Amino acid sequence: MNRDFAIECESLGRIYRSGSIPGRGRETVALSDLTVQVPNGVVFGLLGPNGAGKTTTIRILSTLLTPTSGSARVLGYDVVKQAKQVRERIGFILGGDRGLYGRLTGKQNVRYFGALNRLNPKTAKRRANELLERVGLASAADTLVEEYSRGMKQRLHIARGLLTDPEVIFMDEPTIGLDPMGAQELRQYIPELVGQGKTILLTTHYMLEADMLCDEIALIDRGRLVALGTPDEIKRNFSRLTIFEIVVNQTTETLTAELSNIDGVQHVEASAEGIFQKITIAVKAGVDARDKIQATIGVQRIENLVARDPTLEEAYVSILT
Amino acid sequence: MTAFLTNFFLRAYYSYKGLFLWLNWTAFISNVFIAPVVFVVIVTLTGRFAGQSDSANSYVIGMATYAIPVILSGGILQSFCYERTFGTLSLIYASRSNRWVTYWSKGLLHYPNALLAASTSLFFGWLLLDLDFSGLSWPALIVLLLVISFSCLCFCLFMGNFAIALREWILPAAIANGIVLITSGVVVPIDQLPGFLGEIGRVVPLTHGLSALRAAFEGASLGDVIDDIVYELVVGLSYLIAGGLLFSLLEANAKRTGTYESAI
Repeated sequence: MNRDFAIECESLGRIYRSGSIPGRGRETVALSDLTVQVPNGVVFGLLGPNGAGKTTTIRILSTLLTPTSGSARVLGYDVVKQAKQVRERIGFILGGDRGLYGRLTGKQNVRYFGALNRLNPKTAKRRANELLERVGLASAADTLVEEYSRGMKQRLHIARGLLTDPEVIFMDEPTIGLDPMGAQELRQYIPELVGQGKTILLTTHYMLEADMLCDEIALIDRGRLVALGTPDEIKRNFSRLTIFEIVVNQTTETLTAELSNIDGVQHVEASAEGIFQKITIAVKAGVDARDKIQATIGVQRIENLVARDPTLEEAYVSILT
Repeated sequence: MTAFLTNFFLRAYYSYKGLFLWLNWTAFISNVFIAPVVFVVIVTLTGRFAGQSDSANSYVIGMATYAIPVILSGGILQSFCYERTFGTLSLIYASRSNRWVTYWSKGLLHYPNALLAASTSLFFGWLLLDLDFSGLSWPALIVLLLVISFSCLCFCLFMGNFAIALREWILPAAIANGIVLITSGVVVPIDQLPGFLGEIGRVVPLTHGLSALRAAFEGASLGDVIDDIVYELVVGLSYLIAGGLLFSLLEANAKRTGTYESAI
């Protein structure tokens, strides 16, 4: 049992089987051989396209699903054999409309969750009020949840997920449905939670959010781990891309196509930038295409040329395509 | 202990309020008061029309007590089914809660509805159909309504597991009510049922309680019907335990197959 790690997955796998007729069932590999270790007190991002296995991983770690191979531990407790101990230490925040009682008020939803988790009723009441205030729902606390907007429901998910003051928090697309202000407030709240010693496992499709919040990221695709590291490591070591950003004062109709034909160029994107044009070119790492790009555009037309590491989104697309 | 009880009642109340979709005035009044009385009147008048005027009391008592499983199955099976439909089942499965307590708390506030439905039906049986209360042992009536409601509550909690599994409450409610209606002697005395149906009747709720209640209306005291009361309680407790075990099995199966919950 290694308590340096909040979460440990070792060769974790999950296969879903459907169909009850022998020999005619269908198997879907949702997760395969996932090995990751999440240190205590960090935000760990689990990224990947839809169906990559992110939610399956969270379901296994939150004791809602048993793995079909491998093992997982949360705070040193096995998620299958010591599920009770795991549940006493975790919280999860879902994304979306489901998982709430529409006929109860926001406050009742949170208090019901407190009763379900055997919190002292007085403590649950106090924390429910504090958290509803914290997520900006104090004025709507006594309104039925069926009258909430999607963003309000998302805030309620957050309040409920934090009610038990968990050591490890699973956040499955927590900013989905939130308006920009709400999303920003949550993003500001996450470092605060980490400052209190909590560990957060975050799934999101917003790369900027992952880049901003995560200390470490695991990128998974079709159930398999394809990249693991800090956001900077992912961008540099896994993406296999260099990005050129070029501001030009004059362009031609065929320039984008010509640039695309240069060896090593993977993607070209042009956009207006004031009176100039900005061209963003993704080039395979290790290919020296700078001279050819300059020659194709024409040096006299180039106002500025910068080579930079890819953003997390560019790296994500590069790794997964 | 106080905290435990407070949490138990909070869970019972919020589960009832959040998941019982008949909890509005029109649905509640029509299901708890109007429908049971209408059934009592229809069946009793049909019996009289068929020349069974001597059995009027029997029909009224039978149908009045049949209101108990009907209102309980509607309420409790909704609570189980919508837990899955609303995607809140994962909150229970990932919570620290004692599953037996969670399971039992789902029935608590439906219990008074059962008593209300049966009492109203008996009252209207007296008002509209001349149900004879003259020889009734009132303590026996009170105890029997409490015991029958308890055993039917346990049976409906048991059937609630099927509402989770099927993600549907109307079918299992219809099956539960159908079994009770046919086999417990509500309309047809169990000794006149075909053999196997009579045997089934012995292990479904209401059968023994109803037999005792009819005897109580004919003057039997509480002591006279104690055996039936105990039998009715044992039937209820058996369903309570079997249902709790099934609830745990469903959770284990949900985790194994990953098919019962899609909220997370």
